[in-house]
Amino acid sequence: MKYFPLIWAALWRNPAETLLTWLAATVAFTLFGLMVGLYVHTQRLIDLERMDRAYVVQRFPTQPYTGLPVALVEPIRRIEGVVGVGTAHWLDGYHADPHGSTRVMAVDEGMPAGWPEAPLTPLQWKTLLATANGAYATRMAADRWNLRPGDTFQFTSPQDAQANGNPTRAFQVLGVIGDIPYAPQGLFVANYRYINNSEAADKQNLGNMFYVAFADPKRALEICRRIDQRFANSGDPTFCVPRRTDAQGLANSNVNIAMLTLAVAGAGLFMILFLIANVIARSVSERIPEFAVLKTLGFRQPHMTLLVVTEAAAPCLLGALLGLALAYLLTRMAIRLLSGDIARLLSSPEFPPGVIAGAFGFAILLAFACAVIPLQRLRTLSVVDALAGR
Amino acid sequence: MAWLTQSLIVTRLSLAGLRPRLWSSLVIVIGMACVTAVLVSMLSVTAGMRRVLQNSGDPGRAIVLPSRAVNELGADLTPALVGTILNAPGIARSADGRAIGDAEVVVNVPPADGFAQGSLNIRGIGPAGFALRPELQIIAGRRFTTGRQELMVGAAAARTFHYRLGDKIIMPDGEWPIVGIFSGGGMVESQLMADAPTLMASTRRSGFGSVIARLTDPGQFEAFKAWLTTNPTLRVTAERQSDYYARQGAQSSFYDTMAYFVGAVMSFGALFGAVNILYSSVRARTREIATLRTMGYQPLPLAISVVFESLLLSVLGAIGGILLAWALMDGHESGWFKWSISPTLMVLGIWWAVMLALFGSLFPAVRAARLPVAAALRGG
Repeated sequence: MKYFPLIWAALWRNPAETLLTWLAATVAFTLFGLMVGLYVHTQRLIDLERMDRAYVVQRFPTQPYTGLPVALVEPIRRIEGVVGVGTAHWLDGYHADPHGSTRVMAVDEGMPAGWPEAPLTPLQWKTLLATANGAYATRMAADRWNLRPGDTFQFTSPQDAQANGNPTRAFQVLGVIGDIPYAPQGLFVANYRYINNSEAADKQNLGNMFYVAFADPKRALEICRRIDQRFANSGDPTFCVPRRTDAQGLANSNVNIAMLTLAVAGAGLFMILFLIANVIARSVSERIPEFAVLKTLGFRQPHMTLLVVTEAAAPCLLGALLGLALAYLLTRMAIRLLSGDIARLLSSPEFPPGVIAGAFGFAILLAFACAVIPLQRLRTLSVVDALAGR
Repeated sequence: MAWLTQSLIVTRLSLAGLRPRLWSSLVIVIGMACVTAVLVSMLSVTAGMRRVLQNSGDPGRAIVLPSRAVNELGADLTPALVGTILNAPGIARSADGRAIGDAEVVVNVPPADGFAQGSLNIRGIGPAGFALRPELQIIAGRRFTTGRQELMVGAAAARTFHYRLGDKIIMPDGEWPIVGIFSGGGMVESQLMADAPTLMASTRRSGFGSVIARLTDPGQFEAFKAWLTTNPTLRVTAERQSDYYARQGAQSSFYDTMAYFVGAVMSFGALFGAVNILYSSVRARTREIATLRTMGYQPLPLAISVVFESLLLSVLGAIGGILLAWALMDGHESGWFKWSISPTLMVLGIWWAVMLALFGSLFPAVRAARLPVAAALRGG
């Protein structure tokens, strides 16, 4: 603390320069926060998908997509290594406003074993499977339509009308469950039997996909191959893919998002590295006589290092703090104030403690990197020459 | 014209003084290089996508889809409907009088391990499929034989999914060998290709997903479309193939948004850096500026010299950034397209830097112009 007045005086020697440097650092760390946050979000979505869980879908999808017969569930369940199989039947549609789309995921009694991580308690599973027209709304869906347990939710699916031609089905909201990461717009988990019974005869007893749970994640690919081989020569060949493998493929299908986000974050930091290094170098250079006096007064190289690094660290750390705060605010604002692609981009980043720690870690590294050359100059400083103004 | 002469002299003086300010000037150059490199690299993603989509579509070709279909993955066009469609006016005809049009089917197949579902398609083409696409070239092996269970693979698909000649793809009725590799055709290059009837028999499809026809003249499209859409026996839509692929490219807008957003944020950082450096440049030149004012130089030439210095350094940085992006990213393969740094993107990068330079130099230029002469001469 005793050096604080010295550092404070150095920082405010040129207020405009200090302010602009802080602003540049703030912008760089805003970008760092958003890009690393986006990277973390993408990785988290991949990590949430497990290798010991798989999807089984039609190997050669029909058009329109009909799915696989539920008769395949039992043979899949009997394959060694499989511990659970559930049927999922997806309905796309809307509630009230045709532009406000949502989805219903109808599940059968095998789903608690095929998807044990689902955000439903055993009691909720039991209630759902015992209530024909029951449905659980995810938190996001419940908030979107202000739904409470006991409410009736009208869902219209023009592509998947009932056998009588009516595209609207009524669901009784049984409760609200946690959000599901891959359904960011929210969804409803409903009872497959209810949906199946309402379908036309040629659409009954089909599932869009099966959720399969394996005992051992290391054997996921092998078991998937065995499932596919089991049905390779049948009328309904399957395609089994571990959910994590699928998520990784999806994340990198067009552009390697991990590479892109980290490269941009790095470019931002590289850009301010030179700016801050230049500011510190000039500041030290202009204060050479001052440092010479400090040396004369007994300040040694560690003291000088402390002064210069702290002076460099101030804009970096403050920039990291303000930048992360700004990035966080942008992600909160995005959903409410923005729309389209920009909202999608800005609403995704996440800021776990690792991102915050990373930003401050890089801020300190940056400060040391910026201080290297000025410190080298101070190390070789000749006090006599400096005091003489040579 | 005195101000012009003065501007030239002051600008020359300012540039001559860059050498002692080399390191601080480099901050502007590096800042602009970072901004343009990131902006241009990110925009090259969508430029690459668009390039492939543009190469896919030919305004002289039309695509006919079932009325509710948004792509070619459907199977609603029966052979009878295809026959009616190929009777439409405006379709070019071969020497033997046959319509140069082809009913095609696109089937989704599971990709190799590690790729997402839906990332690989087989296109089944008919007898006129090759005549319709003269741009297709066999670069290895041969064409598939009509009626045989054989496949050709596009060069982009071969790169992405690591397919080689002789590899086999699991189909519902057995394994089909890859007998040829082709290039050209835009999006088609990221697909497998087979004989349409054989593919439909294998995947148990009775209908086609699209009909593609060559028009006698691109100007015939409206008549062709009107005939099809007013025919009561047909429920189809018709588009120029170029428009169809442009529509398919709408998904790329997310990457454009991301590029401009990141570019804008980085620009703020570079802007603050540039203003900072230019202010310190004006400060370093205080005596010089004051002396020039005393000698009768007007404020405007002094301001112009600051703006010019900023422009020069920024454009140098932009050129460096563009060259870096071009060296690292141009031609980088991402699935079905390659990142493409086109001349348009290069111009955009330089324009972006010029705008930043003008904006960033505004306040330092005003400061240079309004410097109090007496105080500056005293060392202020």
